[in-house]
Amino acid sequence: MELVILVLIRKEILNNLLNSRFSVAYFVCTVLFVGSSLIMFADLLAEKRVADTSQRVYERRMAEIDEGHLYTDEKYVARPVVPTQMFALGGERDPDRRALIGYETAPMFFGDFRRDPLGNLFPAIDPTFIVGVLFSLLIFMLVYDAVSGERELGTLKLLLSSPISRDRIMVAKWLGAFISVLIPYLTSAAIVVLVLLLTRGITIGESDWARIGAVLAIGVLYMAVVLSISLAVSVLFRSSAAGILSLLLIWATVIVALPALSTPIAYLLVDPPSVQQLTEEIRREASQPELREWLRTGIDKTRQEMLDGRDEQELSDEERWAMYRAMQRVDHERIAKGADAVVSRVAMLTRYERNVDRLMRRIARLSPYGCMQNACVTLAGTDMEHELAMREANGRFMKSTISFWKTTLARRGPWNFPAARGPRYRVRREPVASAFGRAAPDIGVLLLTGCVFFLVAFAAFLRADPT
Amino acid sequence: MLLTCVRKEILSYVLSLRYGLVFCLLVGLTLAATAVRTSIYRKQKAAYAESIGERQRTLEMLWDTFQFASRGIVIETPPNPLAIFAGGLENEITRSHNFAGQKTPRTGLRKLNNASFRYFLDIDLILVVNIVGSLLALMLVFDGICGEREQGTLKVLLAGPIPRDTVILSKIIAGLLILALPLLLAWGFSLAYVVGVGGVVLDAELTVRVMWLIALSLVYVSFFFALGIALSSWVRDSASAMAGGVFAWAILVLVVPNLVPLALKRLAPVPPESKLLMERDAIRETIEKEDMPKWREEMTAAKEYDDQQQLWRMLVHMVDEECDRRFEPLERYAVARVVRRLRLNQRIARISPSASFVFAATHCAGTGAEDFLHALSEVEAYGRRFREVFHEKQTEHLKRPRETRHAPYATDAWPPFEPSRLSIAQAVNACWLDVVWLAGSMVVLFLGAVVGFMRYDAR
Repeated sequence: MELVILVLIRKEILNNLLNSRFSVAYFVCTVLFVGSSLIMFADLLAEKRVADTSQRVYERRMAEIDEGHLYTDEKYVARPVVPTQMFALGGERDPDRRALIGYETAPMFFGDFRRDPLGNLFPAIDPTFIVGVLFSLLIFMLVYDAVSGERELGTLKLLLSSPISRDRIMVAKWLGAFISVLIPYLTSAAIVVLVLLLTRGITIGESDWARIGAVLAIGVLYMAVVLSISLAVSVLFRSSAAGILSLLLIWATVIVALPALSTPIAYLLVDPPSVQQLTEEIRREASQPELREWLRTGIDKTRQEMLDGRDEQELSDEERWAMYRAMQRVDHERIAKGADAVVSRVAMLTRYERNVDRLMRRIARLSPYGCMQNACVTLAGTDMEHELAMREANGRFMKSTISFWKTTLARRGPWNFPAARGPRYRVRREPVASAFGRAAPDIGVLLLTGCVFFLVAFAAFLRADPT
Repeated sequence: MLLTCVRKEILSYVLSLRYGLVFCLLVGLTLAATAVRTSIYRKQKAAYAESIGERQRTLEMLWDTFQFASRGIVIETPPNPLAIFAGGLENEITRSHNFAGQKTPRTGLRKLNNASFRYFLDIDLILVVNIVGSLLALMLVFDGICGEREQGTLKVLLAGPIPRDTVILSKIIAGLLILALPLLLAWGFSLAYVVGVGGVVLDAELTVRVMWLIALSLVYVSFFFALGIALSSWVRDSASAMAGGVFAWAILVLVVPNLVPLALKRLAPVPPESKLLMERDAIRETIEKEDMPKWREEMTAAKEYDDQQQLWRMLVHMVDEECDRRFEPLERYAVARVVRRLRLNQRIARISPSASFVFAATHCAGTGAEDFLHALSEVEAYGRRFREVFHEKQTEHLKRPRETRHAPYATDAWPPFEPSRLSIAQAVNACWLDVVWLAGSMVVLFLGAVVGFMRYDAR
C-alpha cells in the first residue's frame, strides 16, 4: 500500500509539473527569488564597502583627536552590515548609518538627510517577502482547486471509488503539492547559495550559514502551512471559484494587512514617549542649574589654585595652557555627571521599544506570514534585539574610550596622545542558539497552524461528498 | 442597447460573490488603515506642538556659549494630515535637524523609529489601493471574456443582435462603474473618520488634494481592470488569464518599483556623509596649517585681542568661518547628486504603473519625492542662514570683555524655521506625467481589449 501512496504522489507531482499554470508559477517564483536574492546580495556588498570606508574614516578621526578635544569633537561609529540581511532585511531596511559617541548624546544611530529615501515608498523585496507574500499567492493559485476542481470535473468520485483509502489520497495530494512547490524554492535557494559560495567580497561565517539555513528552513515550513490552508479551503468549498475567492480574502487580510497593522497597533497601545520628548529631555539633562553651579564653583576653584595668587598675564604659555586644560577637566567631570541622566532616558526608551516589539509579535502571530517574518528576522539577526545590541555596543564603546583616555592621560600626560591604541568598536551578535530560542514561539505557532489546517483538510476530506 | 447591456453586466457583477469580496476587502482594509494612521497622526501632532515649547525651554536653560555649541537649536517640519492616506516619505520629511555651533548638522531620529516598523509593509490607504485594489480589480475581470467562452455563454451572446463593440464596451463601462463604487465608499468613510475622529480640518487646498487622490485611485485601479479585460480578450482559457494576470501584477507592482532604486544606487551614487566629513576635515586641516599662522601674526601685530583666550577663540572662529565657506560647494554638490538620483529614479521606475501611482499619489498628498527635495532645500537654506547668524553672534561675543564673552546668546537671536510645502500647482506639475502615463496606458489596454474581443473566436 505504501507503493500506492508513492504512485499517487508521483501522479500529483506530474500533474502539477505538466500544468501550464504551474510552469508559469515555477518560472515566476524562481526568477523572483533568485533575482531578489542576488540584488540584495549586490546591495549588501555595496553597503559593506560604504560602511567599512566610513568606519575607517571615523577611526582615523578618533586617532587624530588631541587631548583638548576628547569630549567635544564629533566622534562617530558606522553601523555594521549584517551578512544575513540579504535574506531577511528586517530592521536593516534603510536604517540610519552613524552613531555619535559622547557622554551627552544618546548612543543611537541617527540619520543623514542628504540621501535618496525613495526605496521607502515601496515594499522591500527581500527573499522573505517574496516567499511570504508572493509564494503564498502562487501556492493559493496552484492548489485552490486540488479537490474542488476534481469534484467539478467529476474525477474525484472516480478516484474515491478506487480501492485506495481517502486518507492515503489526502496525504498523497498534500505531499505531491508540497514537493511540487518545493522544487522551485529549493532550485532557487541552491542557485543563491552557490553564488554566495563562489563570490568573494563578504565573509560568511559558520554562524551566518546556520542562520541562512534556518531562514530557508522557515520558508519551507511556511509554504507547508500555506499549502495546508489552501488544501483545507479546497476541500471545504464545493466550487473552486468560491475557494479561490476565500483564499484571496485570506491573502489580503491575513497575509498582507494583518502583519502590516500589527506594528502600528502595538505602537498605539504601548504609547511610548515621542522622539521629540526624549531628545529634548536628553538635551536638557546635562544643562541642569545644579550642574551649572557645580561647574562654576569647580572652575573658579581650579583657576585660583593654578594662579596661586598671580595674575594670568604673569603665567608662561605652558602654565596658561595647563590651567586651561585643568579647567577643561572640570567641565569633563560635569559632562560625566550629566551622562547618567542620558543613560536612564535611553534605558526607558529601550524598555518601550522592546514592549512595542513584543506586542507586535503577539499580534502578528495571528498571521502565518507574521510568524514567518518574525522568525526569519530573529534568526537572521536583523530584528529589534540587534538594534538594541548595537546601541549597547555604542554605549560600551563610549565608556571604554573615555576610560582609556582618562587612564592614558593620568599615566602619560596630554602630549603625544596615543588615541590610535584605544578600544575598537565591536558589536556582539546574539548566538544562534539564543536566536532560535526567541524564534521558537513563532516557529511553534507556524507548526501548530500547519497541523491544524492539515487536520481540518484531512478530516473534511474523509467526510467529503464527491458528487 | 448599450445601456441595457451595461445594466446586465452591472447586475451580474454586483450579484456575484466575487464582487462582494472585492467590496468588503477594499472598504474594510482602507478603514482599518485609516483608523490606525489617524491615531498615529494625532499623537505626532500633539508631540510636535509640545516640542516647540520644550525646545524653547531648553534654549533658555543654556548658560553659556559652550553649551550652545553642543546643544544648538532644533528645527522640524510639522506633520502633514494627508500622510494619513499616503504616508510616502513623511517619516523622512518630518525628521528634526539640530544645528549646533560648528558641528555638522545632525538629522534626528524618525518619528516612527522602532525597527519593527520596517519588518512589514507601511500600511495606508494608498498601499491598500496599490497592492490589494489592483489585484482585486484583476481578479474581478480576468475571466470576463474567456470565462464566458468556457461556459459556452459567449457564443450565445454573440449570436444575438448585439454587436461585439457594444458587448465589450458594456463590460468595460459596467466594470469601471462597479469598481468605482467600493473605492468611492472607502474614501468617503475614511474622510469622514479623519474629519470626525481625527479632527483634521479640510480646507480648500486639502480638499483639492484629496479629490486628486481619489481620482488617481480610480485611474490606477481602472488600469488593472483594463489589463485584466485585455488579457481575458486575448487568451482562450481563464486559468492562463489568471496566471498571466498574477504574473504581470507581481512584476509591475512588486518587482519593478523596487528594483530601480536598488539599481540606481550603483548607477547614480550619492557621496556618503563619511566622505563629506573627510573632505571637511581635509579643508580644516589645510586652513589650520596655511592660513591660521598668518592670521595669528596679523592679529598679534595689530593687537586685536585683550588676552590669549580671546585670541585663540577668535582664530578658531575664523577657521570655522573659512571652513564653512570652502565646504559649501561640496554640500551643494552632494545635494545635487541626491536630486539627480531621485529624479532619475522616478523617470525609470515610471515603467511600472504602481510606481507611477505611488509617485503621483504621494505628490498630491505632499509626501512625495519632490516634497522631500523641497524639505531638503529648505533645511540646507536654513543651515546657511543659521551659520551666517551664528558667525555674527560669535564675532560680536568674542569682542566683549572676558566676563561677558561666553554669556548665553539671546534665545530670539536665531532665524525662525518656517517650512512650507509644495503648492497644489507644484504638486500637479510634479505628477502630471505619472497621471498621463497611467491614463494613457489604461486607454491603450482598453483599446487592446476591444481589438482582441473583435477578433475573438467564441467557440
